[in-house]
Amino acid sequence: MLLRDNLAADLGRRRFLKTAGISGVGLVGLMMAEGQLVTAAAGPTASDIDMFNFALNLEYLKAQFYSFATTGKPIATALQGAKPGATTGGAAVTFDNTSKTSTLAAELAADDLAHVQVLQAAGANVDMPALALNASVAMGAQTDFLQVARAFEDVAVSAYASMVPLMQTKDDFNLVAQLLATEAQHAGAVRKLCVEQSVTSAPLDAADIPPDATHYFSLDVTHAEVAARTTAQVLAIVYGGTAPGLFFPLGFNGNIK
Amino acid sequence: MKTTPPTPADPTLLPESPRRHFARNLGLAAAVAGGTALLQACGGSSSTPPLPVVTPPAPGLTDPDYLNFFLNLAYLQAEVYAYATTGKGIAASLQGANPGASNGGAQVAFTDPAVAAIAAELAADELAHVTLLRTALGGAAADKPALNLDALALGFASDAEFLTLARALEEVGLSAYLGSATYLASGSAVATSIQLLGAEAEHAGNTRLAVVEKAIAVTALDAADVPPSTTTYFSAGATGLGLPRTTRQVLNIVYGGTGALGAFFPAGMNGTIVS
Repeated sequence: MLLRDNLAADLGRRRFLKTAGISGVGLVGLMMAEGQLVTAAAGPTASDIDMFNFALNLEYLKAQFYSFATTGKPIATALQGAKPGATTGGAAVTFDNTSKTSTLAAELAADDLAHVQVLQAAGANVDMPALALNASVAMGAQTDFLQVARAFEDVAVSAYASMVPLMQTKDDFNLVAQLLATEAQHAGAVRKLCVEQSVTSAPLDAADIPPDATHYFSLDVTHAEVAARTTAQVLAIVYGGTAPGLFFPLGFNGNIK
Repeated sequence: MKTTPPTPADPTLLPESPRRHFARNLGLAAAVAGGTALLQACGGSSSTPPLPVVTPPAPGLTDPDYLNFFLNLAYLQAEVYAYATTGKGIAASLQGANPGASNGGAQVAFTDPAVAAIAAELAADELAHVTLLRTALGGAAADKPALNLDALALGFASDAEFLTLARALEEVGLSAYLGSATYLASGSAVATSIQLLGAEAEHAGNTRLAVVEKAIAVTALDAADVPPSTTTYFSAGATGLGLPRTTRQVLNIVYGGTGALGAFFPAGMNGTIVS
């Protein structure tokens, strides 16, 4: 069920749709209106911890991907929870010695490992879900690494952008905003390397702006803002549809999945 | 939906981190009018960059006050990038009724087409931010203040100068949104500011990497700044979190000190949050 909300009416630029529940069925088809992403909230029943857990699933994916890419190994078992899912498809990436890609990958690995820890310290408590790191392309080539990293970072930015205004406490609001600031820096840098190394991407969804020589940034043309994707819109990308799949063969852990 | 107003009982913007602890630099606080800016000395090892304590703003500030603060910064960015890419300032129709003059800008003779392309995107993006904020503020929008685009005595003579200035401005923009979005009351203002934060952070990530790629030596903007380097592509501390700044901490950078005007804003900002 969808309820129109005039949350943004005073800015006269954007309409928000609120879901009455988390199921989000059919939201994917509602993503675009007047060329803009329509933001749908996760619903009044989603607690801050629910949202943290949603974010933690994404951070597990990214941390695990970057850990394998840079070391050939997974993140520490101690950070995966009591009963983590299996990870498949992880492999070290062969980086060149000329571009800045290997250093960038190492920083991404450190930052997103820190994000896993920060979210767990903030109360997120889901185990690492089953992950298929090679769901879109096998790991090993630097250009493929950049293409997948670009997708992950842009998706994370948009997930946090819609999550921040929904947080119930001031501390949680600020934590998620700070996570957003880092993910968007990641996106800005990864997108730059994609352009420099001619790594092209198909759009992830109707709102996505793949990097190219005239789109270093994933900002909408009218307002130069990052996209804000609902949890359902994020899941549609990382599941490859409305049911578990792609990078999350068994789905997310937690209440928003 | 953000519903919790700022309260004096909860003065810390930064979430508690198990990997850091902080000690306040009370000496600096005494020098700052209003006491709203407390730079924080890091209590950990020297490898851990210091982060500021963000104290609540003065009571009575409203969303338009903060949006105008953001607008002043967007004017500065848009004007710098407009000059860098075209040799001219932004359109008069976007400056308000009684704008201040701009000095010190010039068209950059870019040598790397990629830097020119990035500059063009920055110019378009920040012009869009000016437009967006002015539209949101309507009749309450502050006029463009007087700007000294050459406040750092660099920015327009080479690709490296441009990237140095752009990196600084984007870093400041990022931290300004991150430090103040939490005090906004309306859902729409919050949502807009958060999405603008994302844009500034993308810009910062790009320009920081460009600085590293071109081996440009840049200096720290303040005690909390983490300049880009071969081991620090991102402005994120040990916990991987972006750096917020209070409005006063932002002003300290763009005013070039703790006064009420100076550096990029020779007559100060326009609006309510000006000192």
